[in-house]
Amino acid sequence: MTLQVRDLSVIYGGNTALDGFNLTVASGELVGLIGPNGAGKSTAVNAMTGIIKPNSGSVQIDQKELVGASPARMLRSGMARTFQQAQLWRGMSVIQNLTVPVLRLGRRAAEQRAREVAELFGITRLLDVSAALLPYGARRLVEVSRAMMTEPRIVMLDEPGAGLTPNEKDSLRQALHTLSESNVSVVLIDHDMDLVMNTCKRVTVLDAGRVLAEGTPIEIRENPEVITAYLGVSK
Amino acid sequence: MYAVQLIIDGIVIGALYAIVALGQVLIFRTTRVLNFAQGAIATISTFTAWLVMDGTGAMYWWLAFSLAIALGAIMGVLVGALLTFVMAKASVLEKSTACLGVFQLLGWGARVIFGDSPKRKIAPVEGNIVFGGLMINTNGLVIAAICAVAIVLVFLVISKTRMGLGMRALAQDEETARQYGVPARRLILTSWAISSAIGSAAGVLVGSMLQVDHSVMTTIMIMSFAALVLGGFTSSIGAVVGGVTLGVASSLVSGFLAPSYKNSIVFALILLFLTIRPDGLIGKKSIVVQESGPTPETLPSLPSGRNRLVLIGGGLLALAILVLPMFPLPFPISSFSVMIAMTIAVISLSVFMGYVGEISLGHGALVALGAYSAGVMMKVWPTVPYPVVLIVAAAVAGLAGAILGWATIRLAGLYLAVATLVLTFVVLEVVLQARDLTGGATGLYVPSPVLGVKVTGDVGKYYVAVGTLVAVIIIVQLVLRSRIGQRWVAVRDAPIAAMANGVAVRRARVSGFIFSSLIAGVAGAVFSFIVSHVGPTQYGLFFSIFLLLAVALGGAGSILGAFLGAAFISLLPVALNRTSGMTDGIMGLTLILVIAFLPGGVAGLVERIRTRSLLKRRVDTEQELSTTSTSSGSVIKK
Repeated sequence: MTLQVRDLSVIYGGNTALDGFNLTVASGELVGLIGPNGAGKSTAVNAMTGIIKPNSGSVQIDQKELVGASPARMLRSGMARTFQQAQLWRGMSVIQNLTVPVLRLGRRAAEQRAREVAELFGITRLLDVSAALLPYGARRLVEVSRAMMTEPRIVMLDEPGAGLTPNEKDSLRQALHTLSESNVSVVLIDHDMDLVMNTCKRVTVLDAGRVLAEGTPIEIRENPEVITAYLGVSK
Repeated sequence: MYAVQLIIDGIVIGALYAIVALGQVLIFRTTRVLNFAQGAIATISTFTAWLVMDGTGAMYWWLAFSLAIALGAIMGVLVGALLTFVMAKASVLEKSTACLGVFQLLGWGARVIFGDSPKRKIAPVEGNIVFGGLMINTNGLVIAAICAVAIVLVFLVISKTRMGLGMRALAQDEETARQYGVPARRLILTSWAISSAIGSAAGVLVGSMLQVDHSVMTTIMIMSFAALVLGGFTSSIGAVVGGVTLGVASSLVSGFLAPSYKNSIVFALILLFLTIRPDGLIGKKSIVVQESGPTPETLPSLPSGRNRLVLIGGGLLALAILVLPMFPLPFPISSFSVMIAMTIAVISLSVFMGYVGEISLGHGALVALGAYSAGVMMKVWPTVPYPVVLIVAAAVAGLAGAILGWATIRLAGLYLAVATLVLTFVVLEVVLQARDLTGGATGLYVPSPVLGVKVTGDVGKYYVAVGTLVAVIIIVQLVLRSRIGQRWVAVRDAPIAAMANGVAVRRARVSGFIFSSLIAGVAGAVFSFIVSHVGPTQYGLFFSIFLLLAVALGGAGSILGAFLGAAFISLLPVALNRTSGMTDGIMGLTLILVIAFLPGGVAGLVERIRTRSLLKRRVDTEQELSTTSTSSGSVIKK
């Protein structure tokens, strides 16, 4: 399964938040999307997953055009996501949180699936705990688990590493590789250069709504434009 | 020429709608609260103006007018201070509800101070100007001129002064505005002062056209809320355009179409317009579902598994209800039947507010629809089986809920809330006009329900009501434990995350309102046979406020809380021996006190006590997790 995004643009009341964004993700690939704050990373994810309607451009999954489709349709087409600030439904237990994306399957099948995913991410013992009572790291894990409920073929993780302890970041990194080994494509959105550089094989850099550079972590690290964008000085 | 005359009349009255709506926008933009107390504040100011003018001549009109404005501003600041300082922690929905409590309390106060009887009108000028076949009332000219001045002043303040700049900053983001040195609280109180002064001016102006009485502001308030639905709650221009448009539209409808159904037709036109243009008259196209901020911690969790406390409490309560008629009671058993019916009504609102997280301010209108459909049904077909009556009553209310919900549930929940408020008056109008069916002002006699045999005795009716309540509770529990309940809470707690996880946000919200409307219809049916009568004033605005009070007192979403709240609002009036004025005052005051000092109601209090033990569990969880997170990597690796 490949995701192909071409010339995606989003304009908020005259401000171009995203300008001609391109991204290609092949099956099982782990791609990083980085950029300074306000570069348009979250806008890009929102536009790709249907949360906001882009003004122009194309989003294709396996050559099927999906631009402008509803988030529900994007989900059915195999694209799931998490949020910059973990957005759990605090009025539900963890297992109730996990079953929502697959409610169409019926209660029993949904709970069965929730148990499998919970096992994969090591949160089985939290299943009956209220989401409101979870500590920060656990909320992140539950959110990633929830994104995996629909058996997506591509997941977009919006700053999953933010606020995690080094230990938790390690297990996140391992989880990402496991996903990628099971042929799930991952788009990792973060401004934490280290996490992205150490995990991803290809990286796209956004700045002020435009793609600034694209390439392997090493290429990116040595790209003078990227250094300028991040450090604010030119060589 | 007739049409021009109608348009001119419409502009005068529309200008009044416009300035009141503009006042609401000022407060809403800075606080996200709708000031439902504005009508009562304006009524007191208007009566005060009448006192000043009484015995003196029209030359004192301007003095009376200025005094009324000043008094309105002072009362506005007081109400604003109550909300800002005493209720600092309450949510905006709770604050808006508290305004209804203030409305009721002040309304009671006005009756005590000024008496019940209407007073003569207080006009600055009399007579008409005839101009090329048009007749223009000079007083109308003065009204239009004053409104125009008020509108221009408000726009100048917003756009040209530092204060206006601060208000606009507040409207964007209070937190940021404060950090940049905007004196938030002072500006909020100022907007309350301006808004209430405008409202009081409108009150005196209405009093100059008709007469001064306790409902001097009712129509104006309702129409200005309708103007807000049309023009958007945050747009000053929208408020003015919406107000004038409504004034002209209702004048034209009443002149050309059907004067007796004027409000209903105008309301239907608004709904139609909103369906075609969901962003309102002025509103820009919205990009995203608006995040409504963090879920208040007082909102309930979905039931899962068994809660021992609830089971024991519920069991005891059920037993008490079943054996109640066998004991000597302080009140007649029919009062307790009313309490049971009231519990169903409270549940219908409580589930909606608790689990869908939205608010309906005119829920009584849906109860009224249920009561009237049941009443009419039983009148024309006296042997109709009771379950059929319930189904029809639920269906009629549910249909109204579906139409209203689909047209108005959008970004913020207030559109729906206000639309239900307007519905209250539309239902009243229809009931009064469709005399053949509804019995008009005298109402309708409702025969006894038929369950195999006719159930005529009071005790028999009590058990029919209890049986209905049990069925309602079972259905509510089933729905909350189903996928529907999960979708409601997902949308309530984090709408964007719900959207991203495949939940249709709008459909979930609308389904919540339809479900609530169905139960409200059932409550209406039960009321109708218990009281043996349906009348046009039983389920008006005060009834809706009582329901809100019951939900606030018991705690949104809590069934046991619904019993408690229903008992309070239905038995207190009986205990006070129906000195109705007194009851209104007490209810209004209780609503304010509960919101200020008992967030989440009694159920919230119980929950907080329970959470102390849960917090201990949270620490355990944290320890547990620190072990799992180190091991999760290996689990995944395996």
